[in-house]
Amino acid sequence: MSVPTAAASPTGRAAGRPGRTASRRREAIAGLLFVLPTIVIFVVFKFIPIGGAGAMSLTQYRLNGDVTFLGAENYTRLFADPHFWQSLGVTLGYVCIFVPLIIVVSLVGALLLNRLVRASGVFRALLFVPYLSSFVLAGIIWKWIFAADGPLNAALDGVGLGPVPFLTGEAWLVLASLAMVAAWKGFGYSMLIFLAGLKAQPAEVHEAARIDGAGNWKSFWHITLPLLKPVVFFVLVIETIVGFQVFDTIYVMTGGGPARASYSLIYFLFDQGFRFFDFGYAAAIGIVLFAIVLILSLIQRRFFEGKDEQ
Amino acid sequence: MTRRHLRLAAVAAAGALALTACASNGASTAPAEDGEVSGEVTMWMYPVIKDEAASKEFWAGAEADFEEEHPGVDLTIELQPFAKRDEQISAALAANSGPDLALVTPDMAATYLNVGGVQPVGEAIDDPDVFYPSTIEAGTFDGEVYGVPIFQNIATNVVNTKVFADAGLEIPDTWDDVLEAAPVLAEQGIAVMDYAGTTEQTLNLSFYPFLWQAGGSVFTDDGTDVAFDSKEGVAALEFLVDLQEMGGLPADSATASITIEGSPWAAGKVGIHTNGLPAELAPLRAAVGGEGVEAALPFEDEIRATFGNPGLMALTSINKQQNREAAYAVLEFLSSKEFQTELSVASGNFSSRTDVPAPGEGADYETLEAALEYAIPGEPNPAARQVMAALAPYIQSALRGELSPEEALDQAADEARGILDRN
Repeated sequence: MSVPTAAASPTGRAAGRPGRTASRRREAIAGLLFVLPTIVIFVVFKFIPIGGAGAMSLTQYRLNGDVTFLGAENYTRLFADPHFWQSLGVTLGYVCIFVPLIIVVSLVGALLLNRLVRASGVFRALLFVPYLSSFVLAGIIWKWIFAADGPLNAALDGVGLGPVPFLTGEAWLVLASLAMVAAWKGFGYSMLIFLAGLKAQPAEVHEAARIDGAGNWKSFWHITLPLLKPVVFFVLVIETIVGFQVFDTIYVMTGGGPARASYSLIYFLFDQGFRFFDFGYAAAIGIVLFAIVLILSLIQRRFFEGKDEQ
Repeated sequence: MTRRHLRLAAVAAAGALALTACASNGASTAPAEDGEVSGEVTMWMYPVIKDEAASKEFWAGAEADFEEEHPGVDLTIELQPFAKRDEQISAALAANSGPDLALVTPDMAATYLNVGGVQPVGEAIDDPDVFYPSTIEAGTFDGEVYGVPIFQNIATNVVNTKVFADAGLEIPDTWDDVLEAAPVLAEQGIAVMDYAGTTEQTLNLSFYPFLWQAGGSVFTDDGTDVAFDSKEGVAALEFLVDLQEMGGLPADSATASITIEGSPWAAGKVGIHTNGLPAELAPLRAAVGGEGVEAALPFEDEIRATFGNPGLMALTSINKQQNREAAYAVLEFLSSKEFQTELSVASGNFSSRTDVPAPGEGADYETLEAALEYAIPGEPNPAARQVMAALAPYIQSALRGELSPEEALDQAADEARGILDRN
C-alpha cells in the first residue's frame, strides 16, 4: 500500500498545496504512531528472537555464556539424527489427527450455535470455557480420565470394552488421545471464528436456496461451506501451526513416551535444550520447525487461492 | 511532529524508563553497614519431607530461623516438585533467572558443572571432617566441592509381608528368590515386585540398582564410554523383562509412575516395592492398612547394591559475587548440626553429619542404616543425566516387548556414545 506524501510526489503538486500536504503528513505520522506499539512488540518479541535463534543455531552455546561458532554443523547433524526424523514423523502423525478433528469439532459447534435462537450467549460461553483453561490443567485432568483406573476406563469396563491403554498403548492411540485433549481444549477459539464467518454470510443466499428446495445438507455443502472458505483457510493455518507446536499436553501426560511414541519435534527441541544443554542444536531444531510451518502455510495458502480462482 | 506529540513521546519514554528501572530490580543489595552479611538468596527445595503441609511448615520455619540469625539476608525458599527437576533447573539457569541454591544429586552436579551451571562451595564448609566422607566425595570434582551435603538418602526394598505369608513364601532376598516367587504370586494375580518405568523417574531409582546388582555399571571406570550394554547390563534388563513376562511385575510397569495412591501396591497386588525411600515408608504402610509392611535390604545378585545419595545443596551460576557471602551463610546454616537434626527427624532421611543420630528407632531404621553400606551415589559423569534420558525410552521398549534386551541396550549405547562424544 502506498501513502502519497510530498517526498513521493515529483510533480510539484505538493508545493502548490502546502496545507493539504502537511495534513496528509500528519495523518501518516499519526497512523504510524498508532501501529508503532504493534510493530515494536513484533520486532522485540518475534523478529529479534527468530534472528537470535537463527544466530544461536550456528553456534555451540553453553550455560555459562561461552559461544563457539560451528557454521552449519548443527544442521548437518540434525538431518542425520534419527530422532529428528522420528519426532518429525510423530508430529506429522499428530497434526494429521489433530487438525481435522479440531476443525470438525469447531465447525459443528459453530453451526449448532448459529442455529440457536435463545441463550446462544450462554452456550457460547460454556463451550469457550475449556479454551480459557491451561494446557497443563487440561493435561492433568485428562491424564486422570484416561488412566487405567480412571473414570473413562471404568465406564468402558462397564460395557465390556475396557481397559483401553489410552496413554500407554500403541503410538496411534496415544497420539489420538493427546489430539483429543488438545482439540477439547482449543476448539472454542476456532469455533468463534467459524461462528463469526457464519454470521457474516448473507441471509438472502440461504433463503434463496431454501426457496429453490435445497435441504440442510445441500445448503451446507454448496453454500455455507464455500462461503466459509477463507475462514476455513485461516483456521487450518492456525491449527496446523498449533499442531506442530504441541508440547504442553505431551509434557504433562506422557513425557514423550511410551518409548518415544509421542516424542514430538518441540519435545525433541526441549530435550536437547533443557536436558542436554545443547542450546545451539535446539535452536537449529526451532529454525527447521519454523521453516516447515512457513512452507506448509504457503502451500495451504496457494491451494486455497487456486481453488478460489477456479 | 507537533509539540503535543513530542510531549506525549517524552512522557511515554519517561514511563518506559521508569518501568525498565522497576523491572531490573536485581538480587543485589549493598553490604550492611555493621559488617553483617547481607543480600538476597533464593533456594529451591524439593519434597524431601513427603507430607506437603509438614514440608511447607518446616521450610517456612527454616527461613524464619535463618533470617533471625542473619537479619541482613533475605532468604526465599521455594518448594518445587521432584518431577522434571532437571528441566526446571536447567531452564532457569539458561534464562539466568533461577535459584542461587538448588538441591541436586551428585550426577546432576557433575552435569551442571560440565556446562558451567554450578560453582564451588568449599568456602562454605568450615569443617569437612564432621560429614561422612562419602557425602563430601560424591560432590567433589577435580578437587573442588560443588555441593554441601544436607542429608543422606537411601533406597531399599519395602515388603508387604502379608502377601508372602499368605502364599507360604519366604521374603525374596536374591534375584533367584524373586524369580522363584514370581510365578507362585502371579497365579494369585500378585506381582512379586513393582518397577517404575516412567521416563519421569530417575534411573537411579529404577534400572540402575538392578544394573549394579548384576555387577555392571553405567559408565566405564574412566568415564569415557558407557558400559551398560555389557553382559551384566543385558542380564539386568533380562531379569526385568522375564519378570514382566511371567507376571512378576504389574502389567503397566513400562510406564508406571512413582505415585502410591491408586498403584498396584495400594491395591495389595505387589509383594515388594523396590527402591523405596525412607520418607515413603509411612505412606506405603498406610496404603495397605497400616500393618505388615517392613523395610528389607536391597536385592543381591552378583553383589548387593542400591542407590543412596547425599542431597547436595549446590550454588548455581545464577548467584553473583554480591550475594555470594549470603549464599554461603545459608549453606552453613543448612549444614549445621541443629538444622540437620531437625531435617533428619522431619524427613526420615539420615543426616550427612556423623554427629547427628538416626532419624528414628526400630527395625525399619536398623535396616535402612544397614542398607547404607550397599549404597552407590549414582555415577557422577558429566553426561550422566543425558545418558539417562537417552537410555530410559529403550528400557521402556524392552519392557513393552518391542525390542529385546540386547537390542535395546545396543541402540541406547549407540545414542549415548554420541552424547559422550559431543560432551
